[in-house]
Amino acid sequence: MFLIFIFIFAMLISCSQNFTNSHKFYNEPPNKSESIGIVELSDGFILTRAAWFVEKLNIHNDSIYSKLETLTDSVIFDEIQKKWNSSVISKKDRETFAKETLRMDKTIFIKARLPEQGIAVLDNRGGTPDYLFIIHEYTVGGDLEAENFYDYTKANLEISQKKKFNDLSIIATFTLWDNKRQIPLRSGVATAQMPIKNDYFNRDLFIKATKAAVAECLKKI
Amino acid sequence: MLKEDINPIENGEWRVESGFKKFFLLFLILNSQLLTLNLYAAPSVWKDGEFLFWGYGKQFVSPADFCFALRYENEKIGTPHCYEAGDWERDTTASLYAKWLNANLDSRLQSEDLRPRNPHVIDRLRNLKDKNLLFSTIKNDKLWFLLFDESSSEPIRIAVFSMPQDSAKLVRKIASDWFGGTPQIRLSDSERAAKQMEPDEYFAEQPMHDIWFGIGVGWSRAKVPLTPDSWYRSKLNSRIKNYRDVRDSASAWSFIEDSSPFYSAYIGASLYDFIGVEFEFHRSGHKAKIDTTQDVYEELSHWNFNRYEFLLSLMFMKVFKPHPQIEIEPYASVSFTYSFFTEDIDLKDGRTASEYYKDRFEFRSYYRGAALNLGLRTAFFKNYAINLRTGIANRGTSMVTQEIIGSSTTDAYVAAGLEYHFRWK
Repeated sequence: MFLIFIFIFAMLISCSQNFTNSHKFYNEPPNKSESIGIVELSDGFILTRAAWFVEKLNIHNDSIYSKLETLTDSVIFDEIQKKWNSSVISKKDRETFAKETLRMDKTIFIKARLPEQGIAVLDNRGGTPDYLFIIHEYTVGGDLEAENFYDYTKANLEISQKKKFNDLSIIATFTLWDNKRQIPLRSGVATAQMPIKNDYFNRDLFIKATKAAVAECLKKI
Repeated sequence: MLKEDINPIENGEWRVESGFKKFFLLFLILNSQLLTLNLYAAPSVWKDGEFLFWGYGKQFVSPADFCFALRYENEKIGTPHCYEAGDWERDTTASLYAKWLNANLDSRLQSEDLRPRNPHVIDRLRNLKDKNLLFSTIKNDKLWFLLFDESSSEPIRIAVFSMPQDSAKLVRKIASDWFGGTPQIRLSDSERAAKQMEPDEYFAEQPMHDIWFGIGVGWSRAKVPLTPDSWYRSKLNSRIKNYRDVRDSASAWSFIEDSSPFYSAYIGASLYDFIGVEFEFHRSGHKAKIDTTQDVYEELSHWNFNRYEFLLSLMFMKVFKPHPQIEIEPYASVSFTYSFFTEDIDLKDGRTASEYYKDRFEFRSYYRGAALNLGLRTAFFKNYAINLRTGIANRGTSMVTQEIIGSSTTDAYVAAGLEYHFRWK
């Protein structure tokens, strides 16, 4: 019986898609004493239905991106600071990172921005964090599936634009970067879905969803 | 958090695990396709090659020593040039990668884990052309050697030696392990560009045109293999009486010997390795089959016929290339033939010709016919070929004429030829 269970488990592992990828040196998440630099989202922040957020959150069309991006950055920082000694890596540093494609699984690839090999990135206070937490793409929208974004066999599917969402979806692609040795330790795609009742949405729900997305990322590290 | 300590497999932990756990792990590994083969491309060995030495930290091996070792280990390598890669060392981005390599080199890592991320460094590696770049660094009392060339942005070979080492022994080991092969001649820039454009010869699909000429020898006989003897018995046993009488004159084989060697010369051309024409000339000799029991032949010294044939063939072929220098070409052809006989007859000295002699049979001035042929041509080194063919041929006269000597003469043949080909695209 136990053998059959193991067999089924192994089959499931081999068939299900893998949305994370680890370096050979990666073993476990950083210790509490180690420090993490959190890279600001900048152009990695994407709203798929900006008009909907404009309406629900009552923010002007021109500032919806910058306001939600700043809010998200601060929520991510607060959440990670609860676990590790954190600092901020500025947008300017992010712009120097080279673009690269990382492979998660046979058909799943993410677009990544990774720092240079050979130099440790400095945080806002001039210190050198042990690790960097980089979010490459942070997509906020309604009823989104990660496969449709990162599995090339399912990309380019036409999905009807619905007026009302069932769920608020956040899809984040992230990398835990070893800042001392400059290697991507663990990368992955995290998805958070938060049900929306009666088409009602406000700032608190946005923060709640962001916290859920960060928790998903941390779960996958 | 890093697995900095020794690999558990080396530590003997593997052995204490139960057999079941082992089986399960193996199953998981196989099933999740984590089993990747680490196949490095073989480094190209160039005659009179260039070797760039790039290092991080203290250098243990001198380029001059390495060149000496190369010439010692590989006699055919010519005059290699080894020097320090100054432009790599001065390049800030490249030196950051060198620093990174020094920090990350580890026996658990594969070459794919050691590739540079910076596009500038990748570009520089791609532009190495036919030079070899040897990176070396000392880390934790171990000397690492990484070989890069233009074929990949990953190191194509990695070697690690524990220190201290005899420097001369070490360079000889690297020279023989990595550069012991047969060297290739380096190409100029234009030759490299041309080589990049040319299709792989194993996959070259472009058909060729061909012109050839050849000479051959063959043997023909009336009996077609796998047919009953009874078809031929009367013809083959037939003898000429009184210089002209045979029981059945339709086949020339009632008058003359059928089994005979023939000699041929031919010239042909084909288009797109598919359709071609060939013009061929045959000559063969045949003795008249006289009934020696008859007194009328006492005056006769000899009586032979020579047959001359011209064949115009339409052929269809298919070319296979099992090896770049060998082509095999089976073909089938149909030939239209034009043939005639010449007579060589003489009386014994001092004898006068009888009435029978003067009234002897004559072949018609020419015969027309057709042949069906199958062949196999094997070409070596593009220009030379051996051609084997077989076929069946029939010649005749039009049946409206009354003279029916040789009106249906059939034979089968086998032949072999040597050919010279001019081929072009």
